[in-house]
Amino acid sequence: MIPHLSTSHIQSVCVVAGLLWLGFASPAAGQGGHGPAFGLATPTLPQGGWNYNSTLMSVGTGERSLMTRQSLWYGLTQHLQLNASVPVALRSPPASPTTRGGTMMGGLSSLEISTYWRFHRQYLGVGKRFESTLLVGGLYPTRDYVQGRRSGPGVHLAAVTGYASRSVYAWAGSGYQHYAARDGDRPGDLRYGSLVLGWRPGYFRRASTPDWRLFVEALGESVGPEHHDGSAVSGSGGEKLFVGPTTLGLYGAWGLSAGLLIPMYQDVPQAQEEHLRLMFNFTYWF
Amino acid sequence: MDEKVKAVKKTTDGASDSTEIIETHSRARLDTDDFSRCVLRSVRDAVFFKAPGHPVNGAYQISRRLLNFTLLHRTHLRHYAMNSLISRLPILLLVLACGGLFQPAQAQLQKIEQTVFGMDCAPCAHAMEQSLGSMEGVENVSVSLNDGLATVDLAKANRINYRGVRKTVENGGFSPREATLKVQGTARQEEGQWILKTPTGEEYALQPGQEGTSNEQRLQDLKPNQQVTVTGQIPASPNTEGALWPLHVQRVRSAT
Repeated sequence: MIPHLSTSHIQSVCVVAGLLWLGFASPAAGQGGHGPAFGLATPTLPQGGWNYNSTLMSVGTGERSLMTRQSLWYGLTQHLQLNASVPVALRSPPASPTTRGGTMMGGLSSLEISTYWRFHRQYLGVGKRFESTLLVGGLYPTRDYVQGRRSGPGVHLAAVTGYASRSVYAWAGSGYQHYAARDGDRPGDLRYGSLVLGWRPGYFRRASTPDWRLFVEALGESVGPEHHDGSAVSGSGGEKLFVGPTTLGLYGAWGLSAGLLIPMYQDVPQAQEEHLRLMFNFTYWF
Repeated sequence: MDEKVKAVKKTTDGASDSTEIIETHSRARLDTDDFSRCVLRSVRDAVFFKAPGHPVNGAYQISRRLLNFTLLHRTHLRHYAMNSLISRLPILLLVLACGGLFQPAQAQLQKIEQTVFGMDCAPCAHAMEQSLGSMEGVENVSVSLNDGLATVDLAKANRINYRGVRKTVENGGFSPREATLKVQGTARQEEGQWILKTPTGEEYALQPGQEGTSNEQRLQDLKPNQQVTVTGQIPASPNTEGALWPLHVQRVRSAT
């Protein structure tokens, strides 16, 4: 008997196959990120450097959504990066929550082009940096945020400051996302703040071992009321607070990160309540 | 001014180089038949030229002078074409093809140990190795994340300058700090200050190292226009106004 393969199954297989292919592609030079899976961080990329991110995200409400996001980063200078990312929805529930899969990974269902400006940096010692970054992004929705309702283009602004060393990491940041209305419809504005604490065990600081880091991430979101036909939808929007563990492994030009966020507090309509947020990210520095 | 141009035979024996002055010509006779013979034989014998006060790299100088000669003295060329030039053209082409036309054969910066601040991750170190390693003339690079140290070994023939190395580190998004350099160049004295100039024109203000290393005595032993190899330290935040790198000398030795 031939098993039935749905479109989403085929898409999932393609994504996994793509990741495996990348896993066996020829090694190259690069430089890198060092950050969390969900929260804001201060990415580094050398002038003229490229990196590629392939992310698998899942947000669970009544049904679990599943999507990938392919991102390409370019270091215009060592302090100014450009990022373009494309989402591909593998499974979409009728009403996804208003959020960003990862704060630095773009809106759930929008094409996004961003600029990252590391406007402040202090080099405190060997392996130690204290720096701050501004993010400005433009969003273009690729599908309805709720069945039958699609917004106009959007904007994402964020700021983050943080400390990185060979053993301890900490970032704190906040952001704002707004979509223009289209035919009077738009999702609520998103305001969020993230806090990330990280640690690298001594074993993974050796030159001979991969560079593994453990993070605890906290993400708070406040969503404004959705607008439909030009009017605010009563009872929409609300607040959420997530906390969860994530990990990042770096070796040579490769990076893998994975993590989950557990909802600790939710004051939103029942349809918007979430169970877990999951993320798996693969990074390759050219 | 009737400067002398020396034809210097340079041989390599293991790790050390030795030079021998085999002919000296007047600069005024650079384009004479005698000099052309000398040049042609020099190319065959892998001989390098050095004009005092003109620290142009030898192999480069040979090539340039040969080309100038061929362009400016066709009459002489015709005279020697059958006897010398054409018969030795394959050797000349081989020398040029091996990079003699574009690369100096004389070492200047030989080794750099650059301390880097802010580099915290494996891909950072990997990228640093790649970007430094892609510089023409770099033979080997290793970056230690734990020590924040990039060690760069340079080829004997290179045109790398230290400013370029620091710029590469900065372009990686990190901060170059103190560095230990082994550099060869020509020493000269200006207002009591010894200055080392490399063939690429980069200049280092030689300063006594830490007490107890007797470097001051060694600096006093320097002679004007002497070719020396200096090992020393660039401070963490060098004041490079005027493009003069402060180099705290740890060791000086004659390069001739």
